[in-house]
Amino acid sequence: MTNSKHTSGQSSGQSSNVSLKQRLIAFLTNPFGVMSLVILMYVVKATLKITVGHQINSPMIEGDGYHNLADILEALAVIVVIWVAKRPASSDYPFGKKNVEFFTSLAIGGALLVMAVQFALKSVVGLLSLAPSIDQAVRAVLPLPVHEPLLMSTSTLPWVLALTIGSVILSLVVSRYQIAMGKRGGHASMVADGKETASDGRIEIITVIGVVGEYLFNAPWLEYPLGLVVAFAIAHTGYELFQGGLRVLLQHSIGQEHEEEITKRCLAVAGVNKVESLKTFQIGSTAVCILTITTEHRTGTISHLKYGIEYHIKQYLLENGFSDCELNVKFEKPEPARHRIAYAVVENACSDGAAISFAVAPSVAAATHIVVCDLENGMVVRTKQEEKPADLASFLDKKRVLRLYLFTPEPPQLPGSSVKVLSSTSYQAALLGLC
Amino acid sequence: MTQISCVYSRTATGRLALVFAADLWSMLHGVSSATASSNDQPLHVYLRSDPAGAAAIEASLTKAIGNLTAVEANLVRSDVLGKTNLAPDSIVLDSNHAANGVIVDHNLAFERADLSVLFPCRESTLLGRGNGPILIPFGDGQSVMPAAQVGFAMAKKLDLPVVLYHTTWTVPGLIAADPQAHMCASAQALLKTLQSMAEQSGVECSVVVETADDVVEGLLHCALRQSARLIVMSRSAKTTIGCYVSQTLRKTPIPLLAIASPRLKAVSRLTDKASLTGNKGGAA
Repeated sequence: MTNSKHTSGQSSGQSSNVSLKQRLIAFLTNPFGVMSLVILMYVVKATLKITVGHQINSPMIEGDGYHNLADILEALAVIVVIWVAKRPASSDYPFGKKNVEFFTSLAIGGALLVMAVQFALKSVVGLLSLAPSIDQAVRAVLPLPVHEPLLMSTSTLPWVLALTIGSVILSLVVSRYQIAMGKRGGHASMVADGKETASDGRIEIITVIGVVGEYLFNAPWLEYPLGLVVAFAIAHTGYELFQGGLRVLLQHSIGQEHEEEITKRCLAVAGVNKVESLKTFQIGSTAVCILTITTEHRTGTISHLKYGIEYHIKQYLLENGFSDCELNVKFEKPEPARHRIAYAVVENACSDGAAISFAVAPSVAAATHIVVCDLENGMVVRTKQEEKPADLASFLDKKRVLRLYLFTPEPPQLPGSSVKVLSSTSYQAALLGLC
Repeated sequence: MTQISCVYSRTATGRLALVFAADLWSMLHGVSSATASSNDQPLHVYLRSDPAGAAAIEASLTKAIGNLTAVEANLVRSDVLGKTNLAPDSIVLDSNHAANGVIVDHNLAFERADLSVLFPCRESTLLGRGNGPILIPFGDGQSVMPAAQVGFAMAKKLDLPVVLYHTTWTVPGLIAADPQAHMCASAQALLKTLQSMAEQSGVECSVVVETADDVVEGLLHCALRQSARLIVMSRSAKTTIGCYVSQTLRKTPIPLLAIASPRLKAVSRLTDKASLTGNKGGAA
């Protein structure tokens, strides 16, 4: 009994551990959980930077702390956006409101571009301060901001370094986590915010290099060229986010390479003649594809064909960064390429007048009838048997026949007619699809 | 290797079947270039005769044009060579279907259960859309064996993998997510036999077992998911209504090889013999 009690106690302890672990994993992978951690990070960073910056009288660190306060507001906005995007689809919004996330991409992308310009400007001003004569000349033409050199005492250096390095590590780790979770859940706004956090981290790295360069190597200029490089990287990220957001909001195609691969996969499905048209766009992280497929198959087979096409497209899209897809596959028959041909035939009639058989005649003279055939996609879909007219050439012209077939290796052409006379390989009506 | 043949017909589907048969023949005989030839096993093209039609032509002529059948055979031969790019010694014109081998044709697949017919659907080549596996569906009976023999032989020759497909009803009361657990003992034994056949043939083999709502839909969906290039199925002599082969033939977009059951073949041979004896008796 005691043993069994002990065992049950152990197992209940294990199960509570397991459920705690599961709840923790669920929290860490939930978009709201991720963003809560991001906010926590910004609260810690802002508090420390504002406090330390104020205490050591460093406007740079204090200013960065206020920037982090703005980041908190941005993270709260991302939470609201994710909440809106997760609302279910309705009759008014059949695809849901997933695209709202791309407004965040647009806004963050724009903000990063502005940040990149400001940072580049600061770096240029820093570089110009190393050459006062050039600085004066440029300032005479351009209204540049005042250069603020790094002012720090040896006693405050360890504080500044510890704070900035800690901040860099936090930014880089949290941004990676944010981007990974955003991609996994298909939340473009979270990915954009993660990229913004990573850009903050890069700027902080430059600050560290500047501090280290000035105090250890006596080379304060080091941070400025590096600052320009980072400004370019931030501008690139900002442009990507801005362009990505704009593309989705303006329903740009999901990309030529994706469309080519989708077409290729469709053509690999047995029964598909051609991908007549393909339109793609993106709603949130859902790819939407509208396809028109040409096939000769009938309705009973088309439902299976549709399954195969949808399966392969979906598989491709899910493997390539989309969290879901909406497919609209339409089928149409190929152009029938309608035309007419004719066979000169010999009819062997019974005494009561009913035809018992007919065969392709070896010559016009030997023919008793002309079988006019309507062709669609190379198939005889309708035939009409007429008695051989006196003026065969004008009869064929009137019927708009393109070719006349005779059962002979080298048939002579009809005089005064544009109709081509060709050799029928068989005289048997059944082998020619005439009966 | 299996004899490959087709039925000559100057129609759109006839042309498709001829091109498909020539392509399959070239691949199975390891010849791919134009003017390919193989002396051991040529491509058989069946050219039926129409004595009534021939009589009608001969009656209409004032001057004989020679042997109609020979003229037709020459024209057909050059038409076949022109459409297939095969060498002249690669094709043989026959006047009857052979009981053995595979006939590539659109109509015979629906009409003759005693012949092994490859229904090419709308495809002009077997691997024109890229390589893919051969799907062999199996149930719980031995009827799959002829299909498995042909399927594995073709897979080996064409260096293609094989997918063995089975769909089963769920066992009432058995809670198991794995559909294989719901297979009956005979189907499980058959699966082992088929897997060992694949191993002996040196063919890469995978198994798909599911509990599909509908057998034909299940196997076609599996074939489409796996990008199968050919489905090989045996006809069962025991099935009288609801033959899966016939149902699949009506719905498949993928070429299907329907293998005649040995019993149906034997019945057909007996019927042919009896009718020949009857004819002889009548003539006497």
